[in-house]
Amino acid sequence: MEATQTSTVNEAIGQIEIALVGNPNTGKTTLFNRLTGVRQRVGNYPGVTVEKKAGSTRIAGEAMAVIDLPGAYSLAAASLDERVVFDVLTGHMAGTKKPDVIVCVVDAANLMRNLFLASQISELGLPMVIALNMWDQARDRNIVIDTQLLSDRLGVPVVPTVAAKGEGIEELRDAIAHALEDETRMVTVDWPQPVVDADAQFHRATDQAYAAAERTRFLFDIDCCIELPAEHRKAQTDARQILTDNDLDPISTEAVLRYGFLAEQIEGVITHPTQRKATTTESVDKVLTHRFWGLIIFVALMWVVFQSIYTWAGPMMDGIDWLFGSIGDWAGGLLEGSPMLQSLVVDGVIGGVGGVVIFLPQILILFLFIAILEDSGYMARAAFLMDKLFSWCGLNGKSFVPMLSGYACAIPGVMGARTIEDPKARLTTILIVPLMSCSARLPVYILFIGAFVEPVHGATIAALCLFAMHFVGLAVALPIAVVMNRFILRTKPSPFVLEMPSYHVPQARDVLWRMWDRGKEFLIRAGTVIFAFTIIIWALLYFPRPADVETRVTEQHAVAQNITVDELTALVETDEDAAGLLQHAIDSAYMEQSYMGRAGKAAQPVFAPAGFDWKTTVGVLASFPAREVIIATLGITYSLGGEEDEESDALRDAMAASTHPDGSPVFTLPVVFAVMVFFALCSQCGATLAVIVRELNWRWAVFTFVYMTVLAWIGAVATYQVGSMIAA
Amino acid sequence: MGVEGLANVFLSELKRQQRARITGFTGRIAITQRLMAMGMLPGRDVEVVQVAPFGDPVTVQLDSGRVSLRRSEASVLQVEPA
Repeated sequence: MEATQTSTVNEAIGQIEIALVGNPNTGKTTLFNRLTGVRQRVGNYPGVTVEKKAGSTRIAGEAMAVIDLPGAYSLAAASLDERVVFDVLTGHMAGTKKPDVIVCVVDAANLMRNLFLASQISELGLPMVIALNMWDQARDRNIVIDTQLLSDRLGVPVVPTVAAKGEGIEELRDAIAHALEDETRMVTVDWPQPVVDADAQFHRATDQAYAAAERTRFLFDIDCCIELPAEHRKAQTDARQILTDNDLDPISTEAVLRYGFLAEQIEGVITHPTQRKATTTESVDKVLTHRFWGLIIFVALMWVVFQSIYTWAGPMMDGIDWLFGSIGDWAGGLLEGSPMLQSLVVDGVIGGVGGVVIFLPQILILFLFIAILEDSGYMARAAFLMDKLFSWCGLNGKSFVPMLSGYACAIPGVMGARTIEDPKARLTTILIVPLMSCSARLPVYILFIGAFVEPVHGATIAALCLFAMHFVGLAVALPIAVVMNRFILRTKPSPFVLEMPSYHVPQARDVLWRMWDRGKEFLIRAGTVIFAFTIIIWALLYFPRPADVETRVTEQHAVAQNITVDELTALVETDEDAAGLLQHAIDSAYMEQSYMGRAGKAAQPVFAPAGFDWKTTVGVLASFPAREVIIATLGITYSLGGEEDEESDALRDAMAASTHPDGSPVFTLPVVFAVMVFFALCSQCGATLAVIVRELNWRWAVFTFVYMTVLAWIGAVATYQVGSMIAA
Repeated sequence: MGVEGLANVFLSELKRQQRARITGFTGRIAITQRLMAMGMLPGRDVEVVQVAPFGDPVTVQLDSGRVSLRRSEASVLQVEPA
């Protein structure tokens, strides 16, 4: 609330905007959290899935806006993140003001490489401050930096900081105030004549359309992801020709000259220890990236992550379930008199909110681990260890954690794919995570295997089937990833160049912030969509509601028991069991003639090649918003009520006894496996689709739904047909 | 091995704990420029410090920093083994 107000005030009074920029792994976000405290909010830049972190801070008694730009190594935007940095800094990002002052966050232990970006930014001509962050680690490694000399050379304030411990923050505030007042600009590279000429030529030929920092990019970045208008291409070629004519290779000119310039600037500023001893990080890495022990530790860590999402979240989810169940019962009691309103409130509204909140424990737990793994520096090692297993199908090492969490629930998995910098690998990962066998598929497997496999083939075979079902999705997912990469996502591959950051102890406040951000975002953004879905599905299952259905079922029931309707009504008043039986029969009849039930009957021919009867088809259709609904739906269609669970003997017996009109059993083994394969592959989770809309866009959500559903149908038909051939 | 032979060694071919000096670059421009922006310039010394369990990627030490890259990407840099 406060943050929103700040932003409005911001634009109104033209508040001063501070931008934090720097390489990845420089502790930039920790510094941002230190500067802004709780006065921050997370959003997205328009049109891209790059996170926008903005907040406010007080400097010299004045409230100023702070923006934490994504990590970047160079303005030669190789990734979406870097493109955003360039666009914001040059004032080309819609909805984001061009900053008034830049804080360049630099890893003190990697000074020269970090100054490369600072030097590129110097060409923007904006006031700048350099924060020499992680100062303590440089000190521990006996790296000595003369900050005064560095400041004199570069022409900007240089402040040593330890963001993790809050050291140097006040000095940084003072330096920002100073930079704004004196407009301290960083010294720019003293380019040799051919570069100056090439730049001047380009500037003239383009009618001075571009600022200096943009011209540098167009001159040097051969594979620039910033589109140059066609009419300026010739000017670009001509300018590069000037470089080539003077024996400067456009590919290497910028890096060679800029680093050369920086080397002069830091000459005498920095003293490295004469005897470089192995750092703690290097010693730890000997174990953590070891080809044997590294893998063992990785598997153990991932097991803990998985267990915690899969198992530890359970009690919390049960608690949420119970809470919303209780609220539903209470509200249901209040609305006893009006059945439609009662059903809308209990099944629609309260059920819908409960169906959103239920995902929170898994999301919070996964992001607790992701924040720890990333902030500690381990995530880069995990990606390094796993990369080879995923690179062949267009994914990368960082796809592992999202895919693993997909086994508990696709929602945190899809959200967790944000850790993947490469947009193509990230997209592919998001598209296949929903194929991982999530915990909501388990009840389906347990019901069908328990009812049809275990009684005939024994517990061992049943366990094997259960195990195998968990690999169906994965086995399909990897080839799908290959196909998507080759034929659908025709974008340039990003390089997998991954810095191995030093290990750090994660900061509790950063970790908690991340969990809070993700949880809040899920509730607000995805939650509203999921809630809307739930209400729609409720309506499709509830309407139409002609009163004669109840009368007809009651009459049939009375006839079947050889009593009059009045006698039955009297019996129901006193006998709870009889009342339950009648109510279940009524519910079942209503469902059969509801819009959803009619759709199921109409769609049955589509599923006939997979061996599904109309009851299974209704169950499948009703499960599109949430696959776990299948159990309750089958309970209702088999007139057992919606409270049956996957362990229910009554439901198992009813299904085993169910026959086609010709007397043959509905659920033969081929049908059972066809149903399970269908559930393994199908996109039956509105919440996942809502999260994909949020993380990518609605087109990719539609794509996911269509491809998974088609795949599920093909899988189910193939299973049934091949199974029937084997059985015959 | 002659001078010509030396020119054809790529960073991707180095073994663990092998040091080398970068001499040139060839191949995909976007990756070359990215690696050079990170400081992998002709004349600089590098060492392969880790090889992932499945043989790829490799981690390269450059000054005080470590960068992991796939062999297909490391193959853009020509080196002269020490």
